Amino acid sequence: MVDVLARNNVRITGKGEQIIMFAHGFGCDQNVWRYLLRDFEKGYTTIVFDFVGSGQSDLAAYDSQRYSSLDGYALDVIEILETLNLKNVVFIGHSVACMIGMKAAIVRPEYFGSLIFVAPSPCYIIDESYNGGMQRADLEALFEVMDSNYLGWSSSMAPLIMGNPERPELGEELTDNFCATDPDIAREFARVTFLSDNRADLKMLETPSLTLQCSSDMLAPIEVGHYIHENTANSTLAVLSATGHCPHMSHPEETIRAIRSYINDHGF
Amino acid sequence: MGSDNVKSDPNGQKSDFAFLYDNAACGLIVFNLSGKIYQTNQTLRLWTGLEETQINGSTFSHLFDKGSQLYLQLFVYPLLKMHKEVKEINLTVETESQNFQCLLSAKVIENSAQDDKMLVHAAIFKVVDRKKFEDELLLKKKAAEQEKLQKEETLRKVASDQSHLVRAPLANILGLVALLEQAEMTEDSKELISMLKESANQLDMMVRGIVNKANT
Repeated sequence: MVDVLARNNVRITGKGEQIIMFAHGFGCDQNVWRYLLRDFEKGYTTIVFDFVGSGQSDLAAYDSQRYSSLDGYALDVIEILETLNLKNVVFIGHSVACMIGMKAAIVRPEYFGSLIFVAPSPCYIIDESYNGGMQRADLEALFEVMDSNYLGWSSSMAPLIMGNPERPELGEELTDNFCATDPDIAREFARVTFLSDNRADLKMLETPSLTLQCSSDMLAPIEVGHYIHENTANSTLAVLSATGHCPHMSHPEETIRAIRSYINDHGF
Repeated sequence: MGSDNVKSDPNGQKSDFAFLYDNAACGLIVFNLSGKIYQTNQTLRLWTGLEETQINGSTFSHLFDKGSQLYLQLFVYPLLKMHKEVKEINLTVETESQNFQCLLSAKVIENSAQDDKMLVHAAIFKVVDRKKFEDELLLKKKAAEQEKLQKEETLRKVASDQSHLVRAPLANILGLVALLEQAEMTEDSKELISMLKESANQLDMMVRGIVNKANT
């Protein structure tokens, strides 16, 4: 049997009846949540993990077929919650993890109390009636830059990627490996992340959700936040004054305030 | 060297740290993690074709093409935030008049909880020729990988086809031996047939081995 908790490098900290699960976005790992964790560990039980193929997850568990769509990543989330036997969880996702959480909540709504989307986007590519922020050519250019920066990485990074998930005292060391990902997996994850169109799924979501939209984010323009809000049931939209794509790292206080206010209002 | 850092070069021209900074063999730049540029050296301004008034105060990521801008947002800024340093990131500088490949190395020199107070020192190296060399290497690597795959496939096919071709007459021999065994014959002949059968079976097993190997 697969040890899901080891596979996804699941770490449970904090104290509290309510569970908050944090899911990292593309190109990162659970370390991105360190600023938010410090705050939420007081009063909540917090769960962080790495998607298979990222961070300190079991790279051997990566299967190109399963992870060729966001559904495979959603299955990671479902399997973790299933293993831990949790219900009514507050799920906080960043970037692509928002849509992964949404897909998981559509399949298994009983696991989720609410979803909090940090810098989400259901579709990154612009079309006639939707401003996703990017042209297909921009994304191809990004993939090229990724490829040229992964050149020579694979062998030199490999020893760093091998982790010691059972030794939390290595936390600082893990930060050093931040964003260290197997280049071939990263290449596939980038395509799944940026080329998928999840707009149709928004209408199927019933779980209440909060969208945290940054004021100026080249990966998700302000229109994207409004689009999600208008096309999703039980949606709340909060526009942060934070700029960039990672408000949980660049403006943790404002991000924490917005999340706390939402979960307090909704009785979590 | 003492406290006096002003020296004269052999031509009598003043050469101090400011001169060295401005005319360094690489572009030098100071910006904060929100991307605002504070200072640039002359080399970088020459390479980007931008005047001091145009570049200072503008946004760091705007010096690059769209793919590089996305890469900065997705990887470089978070890395600087978490790791305080990035090394040899390959990006493309793109301004109104210039376009070239570069390597970016950067270090946070003033840490702060707020991005706009986190100062970053960075050096930008032009790698136009080096990049051509790298592209050429990559091309050769891909071609070699392709060639290897093709060779393996051809070998596999040859092994598989040839073994099948050999197995057909062998199957005939084994069949004929089976028929011979039923015929009446002397003890000597029986022994010869038995030896013939054993050798044919051994050969059949060896050929099967090749087929299996070729198919794995």
